[in-house]
Amino acid sequence: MKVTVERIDDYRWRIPKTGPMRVEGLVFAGDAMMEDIRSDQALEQVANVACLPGIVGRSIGMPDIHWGYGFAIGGVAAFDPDEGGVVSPGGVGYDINCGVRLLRSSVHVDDVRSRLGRLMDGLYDRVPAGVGKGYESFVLSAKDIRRVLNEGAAWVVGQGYGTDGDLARIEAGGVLDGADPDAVSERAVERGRDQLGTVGSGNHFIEVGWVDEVYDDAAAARLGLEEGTVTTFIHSGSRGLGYQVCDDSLDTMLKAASSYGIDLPDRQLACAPLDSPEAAEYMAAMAAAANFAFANRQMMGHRVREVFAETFQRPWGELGMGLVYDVAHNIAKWETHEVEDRERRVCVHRKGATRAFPPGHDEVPAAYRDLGQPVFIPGDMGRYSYVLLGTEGAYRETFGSTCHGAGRRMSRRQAKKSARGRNLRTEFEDRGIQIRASSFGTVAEEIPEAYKDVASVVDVVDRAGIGRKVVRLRPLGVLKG
Amino acid sequence: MGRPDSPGGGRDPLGHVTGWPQGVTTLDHTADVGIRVRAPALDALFHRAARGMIAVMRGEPDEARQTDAGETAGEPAGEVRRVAVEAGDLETLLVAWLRELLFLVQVRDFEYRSARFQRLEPEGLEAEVRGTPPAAPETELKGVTYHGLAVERDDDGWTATVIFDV
Repeated sequence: MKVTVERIDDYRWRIPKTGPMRVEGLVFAGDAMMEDIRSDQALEQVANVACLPGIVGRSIGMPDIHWGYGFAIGGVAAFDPDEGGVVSPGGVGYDINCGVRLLRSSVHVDDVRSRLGRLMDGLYDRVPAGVGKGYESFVLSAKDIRRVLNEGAAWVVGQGYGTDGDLARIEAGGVLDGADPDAVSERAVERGRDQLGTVGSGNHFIEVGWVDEVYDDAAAARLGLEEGTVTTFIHSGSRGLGYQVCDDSLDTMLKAASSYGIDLPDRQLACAPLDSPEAAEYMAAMAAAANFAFANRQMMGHRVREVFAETFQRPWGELGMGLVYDVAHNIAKWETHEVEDRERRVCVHRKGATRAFPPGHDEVPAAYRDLGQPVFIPGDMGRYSYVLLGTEGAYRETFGSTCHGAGRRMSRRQAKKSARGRNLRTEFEDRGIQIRASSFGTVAEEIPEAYKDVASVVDVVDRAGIGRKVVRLRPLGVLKG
Repeated sequence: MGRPDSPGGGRDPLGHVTGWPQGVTTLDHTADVGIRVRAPALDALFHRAARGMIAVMRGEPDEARQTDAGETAGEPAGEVRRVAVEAGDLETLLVAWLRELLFLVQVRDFEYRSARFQRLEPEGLEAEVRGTPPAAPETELKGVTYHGLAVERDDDGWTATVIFDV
C-alpha cells in the first residue's frame, strides 16, 4: 500500500485513510525525524495496522518508530471487541512486558565515583547477564513458576526480595489480572525457569547513573530525583519464557485469522477477534508472561539494592534506594478510554511504547496521583536518558501512551563494523562510564552511534504534549549481557 | 555433497563447525537480523538456513569465509535427535524447522550441525539431526519471525529469506 503523510502541525503527521484502512494514522515526529521514518517501512506498517478489524481512534506512531515485524516498534493501537476488534501478538512483541524500572537513591554522584568499579563488579557478579544466562543456583520449581505467573512481582516480594511499598509503584501493581499458567507451554516454562532475576542480552541493561539536569524542580523532588543523586535503571522483560509464549501464539493466530476471515495485509499481523477462544488463550498467556517480567525486574531491583548496600556498607534503606516506578513498553492491556465521545473498554497494544497516564488517573500510584504517571525513556549507553510524566494530552490523543527510547539508526552489522579495532571499554572509561559486559560483541552492537539521539525523540513528545520532561539522567556504569 | 572441511572454515577445538555457511548472506536490518539463503536443492536450503541461524547466534564475523563444512549429512560424531514438524506451506515449514532448532540449542544444549531428511514437503518434515553441545552464543535470538519470509524456486535452485527477532 502506498502511504502518504500530511503535516498536521510541527510534530504531528496524518496518514490519510485510504483503501483498506479503517482509521487514519497519526505519527508524532519532527521534520528531520520524518525523513528518517520515511526511509524504512514504518509508515506502511502504521497504515497496515489501521486495516485491522475493530481498530478505533487512530493507528499511532511515536517519534522513535521503526520497522518491526507486523506492527512497527513505537506503535500504539486500540481495538474494541464490540466492533470485532482483535488482539495481535505482533502488536506486543516477542519480549512481552519488556520494560524499565528506576530506583532512586540519596547517594550523591561524587560519593559513588570512587566506588564505581566495585559497584559495577558487584552487579556483574550478582546479576546474570548474557545470552541465555540464567542462575545455576536459583531455578524455579514447577510450583513456584506457577506462582510467579499468577502473582508477578508480589511473589518475589513474598520471598523476601523487596517490600510491599515496591508493589504500589509498579504498573498494574506488578501483576496483570487474567493470567493463566496453563496457557503457558512447557517449552516456555523450560526456557524461563532459571532466568528469573536475569538481564538477558541485546539492548537490555542495568545502568547506574545520576540526575544531571532537572526541568521541573517540584516534580523531581516528589519523585525523589534530586539533582546529583545516583539512580539505577533496569531494562529487561520476560526473557525466554515470554519469547516462547509469543512464538507459540503466532501459528495459532495465523490459522485463527484465516478461519475468522480476517484479511491480513501482512502475515505478521496475525490476530484473532478479542471474543474468540484463541484471543482469550493468548491474553491469558501474555498476562502470565507479563507477570514473569514484573517479577524479573523486582528480583533484579533487589539484587541492585544488595550490591549497593555491600558497596557502601550501609543498609539499602539508609541509602534511600526506593523504587520510583516500573513500567512496561511491550504489552496489551484492557483499558477504558473515550473514543468518539463515548467511554469504551478497549484492548490497547503498546509495542515499543510506554503508558503515560495523566494526573488524577486512579492507576497512577497515590504518591504521584496529582503529578501523573512516571515514564522512563532510556537513551543509548553513552549519552543520556529521561524521566517524564504522563499528561492529559497523551490520554486524549494516544490512549495514554508515549515513546519508549531512541530507536536504532545502524544495523548490528554496521555497528560492529564501526566498532572494529576500537577498545570500547577504554573509550567509555575515558568518558567516565564503566562497562561490564559478558560480551563486548554485544557492546559493539549497542554503541551510542548505533542509536538516534533520544533527546530529539523526547523533545517531540514534550512539545506535542504527550509526555512532559522532569529530569535527565547520565550514565556512570552499564552492565550489559 | 561437499567436503567436510574447506579453507577459511573448519572446526574449533570442541569440534564445532566454524566459518560462515555457504550460500548464506546476512540482510542488513536496523533492529533485527535476517539471512538470505541460496541452495541447489530444498534439503540443502533447509540445512544452510539452520547453519545460518547458528552462525548468526554465534556472531560469526566473516561472510566471505564461506565453508561447506557440515554439508555432508554423514558427519561422524555428535548426538543424533529426531525432528518432526508440521506446517501449511514451505515458508511456515522453514520457520517451524528453525524454531525447533532454536529451542534445541537454547534449552536442550543441542547445536545443529547437519540433517538427513526422511521427509521434506510443504506439509511437514522429518529429519535425523546431528548436533553438538553449543558454543557460547553471542547474539540472543528471541524468535524466528514471519517478517519478510520467503521460500522461492527458480531455474538455479532455491532462495529463502528469514528474519530473526533479536
